[in-house]
Amino acid sequence: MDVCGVSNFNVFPCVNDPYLTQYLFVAVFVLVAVLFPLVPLALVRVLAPRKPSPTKNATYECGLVSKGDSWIQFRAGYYLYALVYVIFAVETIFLYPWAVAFGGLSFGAFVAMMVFVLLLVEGLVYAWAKGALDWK
Amino acid sequence: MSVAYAPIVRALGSETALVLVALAVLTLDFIIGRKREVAKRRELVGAVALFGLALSAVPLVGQVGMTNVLLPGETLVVNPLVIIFKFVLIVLTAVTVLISIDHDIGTHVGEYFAMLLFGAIGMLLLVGTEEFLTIFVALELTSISLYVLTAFHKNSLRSQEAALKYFLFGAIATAFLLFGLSYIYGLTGATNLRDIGAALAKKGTDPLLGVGLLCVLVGLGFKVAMVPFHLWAPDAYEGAPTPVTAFIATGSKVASFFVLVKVLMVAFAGAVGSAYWGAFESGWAMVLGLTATASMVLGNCAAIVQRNVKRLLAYSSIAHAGYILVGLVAASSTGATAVLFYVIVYAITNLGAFGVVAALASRAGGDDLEHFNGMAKRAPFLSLLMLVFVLSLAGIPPLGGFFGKFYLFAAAVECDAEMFGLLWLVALGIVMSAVSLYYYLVLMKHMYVLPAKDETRIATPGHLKMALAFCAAGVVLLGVFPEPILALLKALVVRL
Amino acid sequence: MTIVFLTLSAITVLGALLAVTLRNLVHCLLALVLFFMGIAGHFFLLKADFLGAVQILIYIGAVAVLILFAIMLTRNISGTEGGRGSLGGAWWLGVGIATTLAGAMCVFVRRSDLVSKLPYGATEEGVVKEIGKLLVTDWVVPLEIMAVLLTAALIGAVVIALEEEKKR
Repeated sequence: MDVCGVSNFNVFPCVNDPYLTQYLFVAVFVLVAVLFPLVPLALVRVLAPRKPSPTKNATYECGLVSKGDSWIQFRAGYYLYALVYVIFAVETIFLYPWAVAFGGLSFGAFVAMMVFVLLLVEGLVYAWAKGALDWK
Repeated sequence: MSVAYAPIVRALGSETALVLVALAVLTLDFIIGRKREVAKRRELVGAVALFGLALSAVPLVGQVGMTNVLLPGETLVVNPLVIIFKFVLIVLTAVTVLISIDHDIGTHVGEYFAMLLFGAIGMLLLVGTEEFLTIFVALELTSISLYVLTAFHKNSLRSQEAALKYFLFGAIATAFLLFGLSYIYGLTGATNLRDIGAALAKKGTDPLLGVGLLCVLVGLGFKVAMVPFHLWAPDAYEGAPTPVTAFIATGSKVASFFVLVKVLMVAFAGAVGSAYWGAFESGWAMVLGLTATASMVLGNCAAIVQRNVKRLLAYSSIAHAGYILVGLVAASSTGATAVLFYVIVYAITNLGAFGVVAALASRAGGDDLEHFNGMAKRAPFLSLLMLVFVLSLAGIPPLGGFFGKFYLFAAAVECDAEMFGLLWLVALGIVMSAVSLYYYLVLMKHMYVLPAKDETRIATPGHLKMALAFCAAGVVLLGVFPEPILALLKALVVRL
Repeated sequence: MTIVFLTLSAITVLGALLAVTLRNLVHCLLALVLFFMGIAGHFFLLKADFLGAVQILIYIGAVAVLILFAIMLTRNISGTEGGRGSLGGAWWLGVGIATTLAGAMCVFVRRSDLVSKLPYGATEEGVVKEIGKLLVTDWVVPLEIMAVLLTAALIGAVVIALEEEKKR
């Protein structure tokens, strides 16, 4: 597989493997994404004049003087949402390969996955009925 | 690729029944929950859970004819030994439910019983598999249910602390287990215990096999609370609601020891090594010989200074893990039989002991030794039962504990008929049993000799008395007639 | 390949070290995310794309968020209270144990024939499809146990996190 003629791209000497060549793009993206914010920050540090004063160092909050700490404590309710989310994210990773292989599977395999999904739905129904998802 | 799902459904009859009951219990409590008092809900929901447990034993009867069926993916095993242990676990869970009905477990009644049943499902699966991936998931199911159950006293800081400690230690042990399994899979390309055994027999020793085996021992050693992976046990046992403590100390131990026996005897039969005196050879027998020594010494010595009954029983259970390991170190089928027999005896005994503590402590105002002063006058029947349990734990004939220990030590002596290489371990075990007699008798002194501050009678409901009397009867019966079950286990273990 | 491997490993180890040494808990979490990303990179390098994607989805997408919320529930997030560094006084003990173990593992791995024996499971149809098939055939029992496990975890978490109902 020759991806856009970059399989001979010899920055990393061993990347002739078509599999890894695909990820070369990801690597380039990551590199750019890291450099993009870092370069201007570095430039500012080099170029900008620095005359700090208490007013300049204050947190900008629509022109008002900021109050209190920005690290506030959240309600436990948020935590429950995140938790339910984790459980269903884990469910996704089981569902996805099943969906990919769906065409060649028997009815029993379908039922097996439905049991899996139903059990988790029952968990969701429970959390819902119990009011864990209520926004209080 | 087609797989026959019918045998899987058949082999999972009990587990399926329990899942349905757990969900039914949740729903039931949710519907009736708002209208009734907590005590009434416990009775109602507990009764449904009991009924479900009885129901889940029915499919086991239908499986009796099936022997050693390895199902698709080789994830499930059905054979008489598995059926016996599933039955034992169901009985243990039922007794735990009976103890719980009478105990303050907060207002989340349905969830409590559902988690108890989920834990039981994990244990049943743990017993019914010979495949590492399934062992791992089942172990996690059991552990997570137990972590949650430990935290059920939501207003008690001790319960929360216990749950956190139990969870953190457990998570790290699980990480070790999984890490070890990854190496074993990498070396053998198999996750099935028999395949691993066969693959290891073909290839020589590999340093990474040692790492993998050690990590697996750490992971399972945590579950059975052997020294040096015992640190969570006293805190978790003390902080958890007492019925939960009983469940952790019995059900999860039975399942874990069953798995440990299978893993070591089937998969790692080629890496035994030796713990014979003067002829140490690296392998699991040597490692377990050392941990057994440490468990017996530390468990018994630390138990002496405890002032809290649950903590005392926790250290005693660490010591008992040590005795049981002695049978494993023997690495023979006699040893494995003795281990399985003792685990059953130990579980029934400990369940009874924690049951008595659960019944009395809430009415006596606490679970320190002082709270049990003069219990013989305040609750003569339960005190008598406690006497039976404690004497069995100490290993006094003719109770089950004595014969269990006797077979364990006999197996250890027998396995090396010429040099008696394990005699040192047996001698230590006997000395430590004598030490243990001291703290068990201290507990008895508090119950039978010291006067109580408050001499009022403690009334306990009939179902609780019945459940505990059942345990006591089991302990006595296993002591008086150990032969039938021992012979049965022996015949089945040989075929393992 | 070696360069990629070394870069990823450096990122992973750096993330792990920062996660246990930084004082501000949110910064620790960000370092942990860096570590997760390094691990995901390793998965991709090992041609386990699906695992790499799962690592990103579950660990960076879900677990990191969960940890963030858990951190937000606590006091002293910025790590300004309390005297010592987050490693405490016995840091050298931890470093010693870690180095010893890592050294021993290096020796073991080099002496073992583990690496040459590892099968590479991808078929023509692709790994994901193969995993999907195996999940509902050979490994259907662990799959269903996973479902029970996740349900139990969900119920358990809700019970622990919810406030106690009013006593009646």
